[in-house]
Amino acid sequence: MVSIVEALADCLETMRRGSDLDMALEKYPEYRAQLRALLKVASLIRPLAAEVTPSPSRREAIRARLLELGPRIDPSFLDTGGEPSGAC
Amino acid sequence: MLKLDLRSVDDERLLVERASVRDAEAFGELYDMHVVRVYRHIYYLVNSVSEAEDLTAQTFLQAWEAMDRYQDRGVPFVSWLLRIAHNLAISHLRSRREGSQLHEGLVDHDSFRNPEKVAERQVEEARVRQAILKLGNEQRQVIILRFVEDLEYREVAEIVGKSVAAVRVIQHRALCTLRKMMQVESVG
Repeated sequence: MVSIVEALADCLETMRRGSDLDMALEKYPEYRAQLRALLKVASLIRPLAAEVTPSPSRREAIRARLLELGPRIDPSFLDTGGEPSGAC
Repeated sequence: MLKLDLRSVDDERLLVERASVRDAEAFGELYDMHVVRVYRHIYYLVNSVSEAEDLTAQTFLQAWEAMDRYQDRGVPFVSWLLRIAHNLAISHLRSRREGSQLHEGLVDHDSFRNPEKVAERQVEEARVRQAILKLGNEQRQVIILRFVEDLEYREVAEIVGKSVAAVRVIQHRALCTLRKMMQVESVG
């Protein structure tokens, strides 16, 4: 029998690929109640990424701090300043 | 799903190659691509805006100094950065006498102060965030890497220096702990 640790990991991957909670749980009726509670908690965590995101001014403060810490970094490091190109 | 995939892997590889031969402009672009994730990751570990800023800067400084030693062994560049961030944050926490206790005004998220966002979902998320901050370092680290940073198990394992199986066990324990904490809060 699959352990609950593995069942949880599998369900999380299934949901990560777009399945809903009930579909993910179908394979593990023996753990259904426990897994449902854990998956619900996990689903609340994902949106947190957007909540703790440094503002542009804070990103610039970090950049300035970095230049302060590392005077050997070429000042051209500053040339790419502005909005980060990544998501968030 | 949160992924920093606006640039192709090849673009990033080129930037890493340039940065590893001391191209500061390329390193600046890598900084822009990853600073948010590094900051967020550290913030969730140290739970302090000013300390997270400082440690984020230190992370990139260490990365700059070690760029020529970075080797692409199938592990994304951001995983390497997060490993540096992890080590710095853990070392910082060890040196902090009081450990990772909660600070006043602990969250750096301007949008959270917006009254329009005071909806049930946000309240619930705030509770989850508070609960995450109360987890032990190891469990908190795995939860953030897996669910906030959306990394694969093998990437998390690489960063925290554990096996994939161990990461899955920690993940299970952490979610159980969070569930219990949230149940207690609901009752209390």
